[in-house]
Amino acid sequence: MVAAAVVAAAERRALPVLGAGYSYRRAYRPETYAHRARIGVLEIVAEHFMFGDAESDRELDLLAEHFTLVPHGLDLSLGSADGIDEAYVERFAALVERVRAPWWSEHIAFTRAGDVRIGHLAPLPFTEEALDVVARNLEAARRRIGDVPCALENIAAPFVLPGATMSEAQFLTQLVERTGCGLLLDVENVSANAVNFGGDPEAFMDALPANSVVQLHVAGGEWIDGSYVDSHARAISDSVWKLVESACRRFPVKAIVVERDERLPPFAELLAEIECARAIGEATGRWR
Amino acid sequence: MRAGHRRSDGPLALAEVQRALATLATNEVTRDRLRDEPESFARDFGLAPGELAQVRAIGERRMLAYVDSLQRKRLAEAVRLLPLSARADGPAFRGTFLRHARRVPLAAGKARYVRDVLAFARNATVTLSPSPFDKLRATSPRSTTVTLSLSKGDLDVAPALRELLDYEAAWLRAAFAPALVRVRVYAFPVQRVARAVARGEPWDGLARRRTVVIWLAAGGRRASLALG
Repeated sequence: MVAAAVVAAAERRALPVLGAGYSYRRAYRPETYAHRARIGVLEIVAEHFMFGDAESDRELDLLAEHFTLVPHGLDLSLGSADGIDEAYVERFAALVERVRAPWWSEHIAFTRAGDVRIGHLAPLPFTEEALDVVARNLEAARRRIGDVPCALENIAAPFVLPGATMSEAQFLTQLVERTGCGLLLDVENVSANAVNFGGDPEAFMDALPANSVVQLHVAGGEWIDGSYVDSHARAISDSVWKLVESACRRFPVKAIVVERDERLPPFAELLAEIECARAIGEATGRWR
Repeated sequence: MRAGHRRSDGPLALAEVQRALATLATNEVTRDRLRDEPESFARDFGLAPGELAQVRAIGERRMLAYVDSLQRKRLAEAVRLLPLSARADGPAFRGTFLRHARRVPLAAGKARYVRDVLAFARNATVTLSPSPFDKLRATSPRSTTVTLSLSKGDLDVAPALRELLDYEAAWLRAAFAPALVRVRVYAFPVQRVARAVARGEPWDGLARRRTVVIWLAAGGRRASLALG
């Protein structure tokens, strides 16, 4: 167990440094190519391409020629007690292989139970049973996806499931130790959870293993009906940028990905956020 | 596993609780049942009393906020996929779409948001007169026409706007269909309506003029022809 953890940590350290980029949106296609020298990594939402037609495949291949692509899953549902959808994993694996991804990522959540598909991320209870489920599903996914490393992302919890037997940080730590996966730490989600349910983001990050985080997500949220929502619809706040810097000082971060899903701004604004992420990575010694 | 076979004070039985939560998140009737008939809800989902208490402890406000976030996500996709209809309808588009989202679950799998938006367009345009081609398709044993769950006129949309929505949805179908021939007969000059909305010009004063639009899609190529 200890030897396996050491090997997994070494593998995480060996991941390539990609720098700063963003979660690709077709609306920004021309600008993305025009500014490709300033974009170190493009994260692609797997569902946008894994069911694609010939045109979508051509777009994907062209992107893969010009950028390092990291497929990001939304609906693998690693937390489903019913297991994962084999047909979905097949498509996901084909996508990872097609773009020659350095790693892939998915959320620590469930999106499906029985025959009901929620269409959004739902939280897991922080229990041994949930750990077993994620580890088992991940193993099944890896049997098909192969040796390409994965990174698991913390979510912004819409609610907290009672019955936890450990903290979220302990849950993530055990997941890293059991699976050998790195973490995709969504800094905005850490901040949103602290705002909505209490807690200190810095203490949360302190509680994670120092070598666990390989990638960061950063986005802007907003207040809706009394809750702070990780909407990816606003500019990134100063407090979240400070957490990004703090995370970069703590963890061997290989990539920072800016997310923007709604109220898409002019590309120049997004590019400025990518530049800011890149500068933080440089200032903290994560890349040049 | 049946509820009576588990301890009620232990950790949540994940499979049962996930089925309950997924249904709560996607089904308004189930949410009402949890509030009004919790014991019956627990029986349906095989929840022990302690588990029922834990599901209820999430709180209705948090669950509704979650449901809202699901529906907002679908709305954002609808605005992205039907930009002209959303612009023409203005703030009312949100309410119209959310009425659809509350009743019709999000589809699964390939292009689920596209299919969601097309289902919305079908619901909102249900009062359009069917074209002869629609009548033929409806009587075909191979028909893939979806039976609408909403009553006629349930999503109240102005006639010209309803046609714009149908027109935009037809483009969406043509974009995603490997092969398609579609003919629609409109009461308004729908292409002029679309152009006016795109340019931010007044559109709701355009006089009725029967217009036939034909879409063709094959091998990744698409074309349309308007007559009228």
